[in-house]
Amino acid sequence: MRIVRIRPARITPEKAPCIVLRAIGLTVAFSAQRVLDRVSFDVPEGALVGVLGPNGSGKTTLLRVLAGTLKPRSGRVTLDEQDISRLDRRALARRVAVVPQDTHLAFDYTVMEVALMGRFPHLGSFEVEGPADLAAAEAALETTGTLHLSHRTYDTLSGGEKQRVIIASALSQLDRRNSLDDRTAPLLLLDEPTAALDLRYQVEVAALVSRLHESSSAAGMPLTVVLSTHDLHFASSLCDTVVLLSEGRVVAHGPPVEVLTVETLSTVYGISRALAAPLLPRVQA
Amino acid sequence: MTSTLRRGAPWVLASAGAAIVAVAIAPFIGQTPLAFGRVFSLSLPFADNIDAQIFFLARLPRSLAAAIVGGTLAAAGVVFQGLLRNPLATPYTLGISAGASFGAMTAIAFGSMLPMIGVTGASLAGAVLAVMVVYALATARHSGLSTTVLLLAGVTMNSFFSALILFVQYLSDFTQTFRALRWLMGDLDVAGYAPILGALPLVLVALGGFLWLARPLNLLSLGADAAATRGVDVRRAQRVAFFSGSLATGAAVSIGGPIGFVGIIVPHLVRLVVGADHRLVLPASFFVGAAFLVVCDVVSRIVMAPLELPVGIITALIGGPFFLWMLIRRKP
Repeated sequence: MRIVRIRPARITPEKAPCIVLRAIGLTVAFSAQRVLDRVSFDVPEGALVGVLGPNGSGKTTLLRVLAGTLKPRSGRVTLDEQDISRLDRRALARRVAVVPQDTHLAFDYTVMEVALMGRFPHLGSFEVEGPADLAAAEAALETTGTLHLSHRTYDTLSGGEKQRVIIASALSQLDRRNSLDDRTAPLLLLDEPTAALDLRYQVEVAALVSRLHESSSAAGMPLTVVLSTHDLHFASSLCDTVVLLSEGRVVAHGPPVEVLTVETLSTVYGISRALAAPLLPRVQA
Repeated sequence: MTSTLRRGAPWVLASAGAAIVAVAIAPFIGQTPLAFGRVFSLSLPFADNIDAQIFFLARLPRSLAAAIVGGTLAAAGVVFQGLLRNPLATPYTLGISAGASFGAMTAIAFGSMLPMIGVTGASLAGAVLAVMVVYALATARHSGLSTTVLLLAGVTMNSFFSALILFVQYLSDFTQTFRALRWLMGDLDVAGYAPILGALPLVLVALGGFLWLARPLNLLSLGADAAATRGVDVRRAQRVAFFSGSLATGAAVSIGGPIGFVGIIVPHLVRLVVGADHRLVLPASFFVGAAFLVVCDVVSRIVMAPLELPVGIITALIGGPFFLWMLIRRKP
């Protein structure tokens, strides 16, 4: 397979943002099967990166490795030049939050309680949430438009509402309002955040992610986002960079218009060029 | 403090009060009526004061045993439900009670050959054996605890030990079989403070673990990966939950035998009132479990008086239908 490497085009040398996240030669294998094969790419601060690829191409595995919940067989992930395997869980959790595809709770927690779960890494073992934590959770629910649901039981919500509440929980986790320690850029990882949702909620969640990303840059505390998705339109309209995975390898990496071509799609997804062409997102001028 | 915690805290205090009242009143109820004035009379020497003797030597230890066993089983139920992310789990799901019962059966049947540890010690040893086997199985192929393997191993251990129990019973004579059956039904006739004092250190260590676990268990209900990304050391939390829950269950069973259903009815009712936060559910379940078993024990002593029923029959008669009701009303 031909490897296409394209440099992200939007970065101009004089204001190149620093690299927040670096994946360096990540290899993951379950028994003999290689799920990720020497995956490397950089994510600059404030970027919105989409990870694309067919089923089984390693998207979810890659996100688990980036989140530190799965140890790669070889290679490493660095966050602001620090190896994440050397960071302790709580320190890592204050900088990286994860939104899974869908979240089932074993017990009937309220929406507010779910949002407050994000405050775990900010509190001591026996510490009770203080006003700052409540404010962080409320702000996160407000941002995701779910504050009015705060007393509802998570289980009674619709799919789109649930996903927005989980995003709120992740945002409250990245809220640094009562910690002075780090001024490092927060990183949000979303694993196919819209895959379990119908069209309306897909649009809703996509709009939310894009709004979050834009408002964070406007506020001077840019949020770096890496999300995996199946949705080519979602990726191309939202992301400034996409990483295309196939069989655990990075096939192409760069701005969506350059990566998502008839040729790469037909090769990666194993479909004819005629089928691939209509899948392509409109090329923006 | 969250609004849920603020609303729940008075319930925890109320349940503690209920437990204390139950423990204090239960010894006055029974076949022989006791006069409050005589029990605490200072003028009468203890050796001549039959009311005081019944109160302090027979009924109070029994009431305390019921409270400790009930509270410990209910709290252990909460911990196992949190660990396995399943509200239908019980302290016995992982085979601990079957191991303990096997130990106790062996001691009853072959007691003359191993006199030094007694039925209580043997049941603890059986519980430890079951716990070790289940843990070894669940960690054999994963770095963390696999809850699926944990469940399957527990179910298997339960039926394996049940077979061994039947085998030991088959080899026993009639009096031994009757004692064994009585033990299996769950019985709080502790006859003194020794079994309580023996199990208390284990219970206290386990409860210490439960305190630390309250918040990690909240996050574990999101799933292991999601909890880890929020800063929970999942492997440590699962290990603490497994061992402190097992220790508590083993200690409780060594006092009262495998008394059923306390560990599932109580946590469920408590969650209906205080919500899901384990910082409320754990302490409230402990106190409500204590009060619940004290009351069940009183019922078992008076319902067919002068015959005393094993308390396990009472809890099972309440618990069986309750469990079915839960199963039916549970959301898919």
